[in-house]
Amino acid sequence: MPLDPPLPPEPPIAPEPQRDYEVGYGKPPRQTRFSKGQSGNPRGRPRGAKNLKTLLLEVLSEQIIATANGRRRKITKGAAIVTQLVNRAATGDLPAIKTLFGLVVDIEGNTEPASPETSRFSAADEKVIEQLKARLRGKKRESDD
Amino acid sequence: MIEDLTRAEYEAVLRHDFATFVVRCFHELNPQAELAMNWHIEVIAAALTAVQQGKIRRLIINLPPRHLKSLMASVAFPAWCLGHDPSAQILCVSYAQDLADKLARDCRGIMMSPWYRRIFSTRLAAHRQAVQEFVTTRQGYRLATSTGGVLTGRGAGSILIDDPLKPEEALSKHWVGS
Repeated sequence: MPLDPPLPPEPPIAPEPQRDYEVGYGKPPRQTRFSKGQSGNPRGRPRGAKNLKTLLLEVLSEQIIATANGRRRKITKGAAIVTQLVNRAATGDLPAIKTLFGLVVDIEGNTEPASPETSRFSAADEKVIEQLKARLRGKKRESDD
Repeated sequence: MIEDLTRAEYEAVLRHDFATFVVRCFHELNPQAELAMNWHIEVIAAALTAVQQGKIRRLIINLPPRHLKSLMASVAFPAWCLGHDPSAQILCVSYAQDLADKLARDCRGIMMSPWYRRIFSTRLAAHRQAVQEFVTTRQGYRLATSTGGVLTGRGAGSILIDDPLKPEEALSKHWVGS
């Protein structure tokens, strides 16, 4: 007993016998817990803080009054931006056209938008159709090879 | 009867007849060349169609060089499968990575061509277009690798093995036996 090395002084917390529960994983001693209202990370995310995406979407969907074709209408800011951009592009505003093209390409995929019903078949398509016809003709004549 | 094919009819044929799809791919990849059509192309097309439909589970194609084996099985077939099922998972193996890459590049070229995008709704995911593995917007993919390449942890619904041996190694007992 007298040979025991001196223990570091006990922290000034309540002595063992006062605990009325087991200290273990997920159950820190009551004295060392954060007290109510005290944050473990005071500089963390404040309540109600929004990320950039939420902010952007919120503001974009705000309504504004716009005058289009002499009529006052309620539209969202997003709609107003798109309208402005397209209108400016249509007047030949080069930066607007560039931005718009980028947008269109993003939406449509990465090459040109699938061209709708191009008037006639391309040369390659013609070749394919020729081959197809030849095959179908060959089938009718039965074995020829 | 088929003298006047409308565009819609033509696209329907491309979508449903693999042989025609192959011919279209051939002209896409060899703009100047003429295709000497032969019955073997239709036979392979029929077999590969059965593979796509799950009627054939194992298929070996042996043909002399320049008979469109690779174009049909490693280029057109993955593109066609992904066209019909954008979530298909396809693994393509060749003896060397540069060959595997070349086939993958061709396949990706097909899938990005305007006519492919007209007949199928499959689109490549904008951020996953690496040649060795390109991914569709529906999580399907075509993964290209070579024998000896690392594949652990990767699987696929269909596995295509195209020229697993270098020509000179085909004569080596060591490789053929292993």
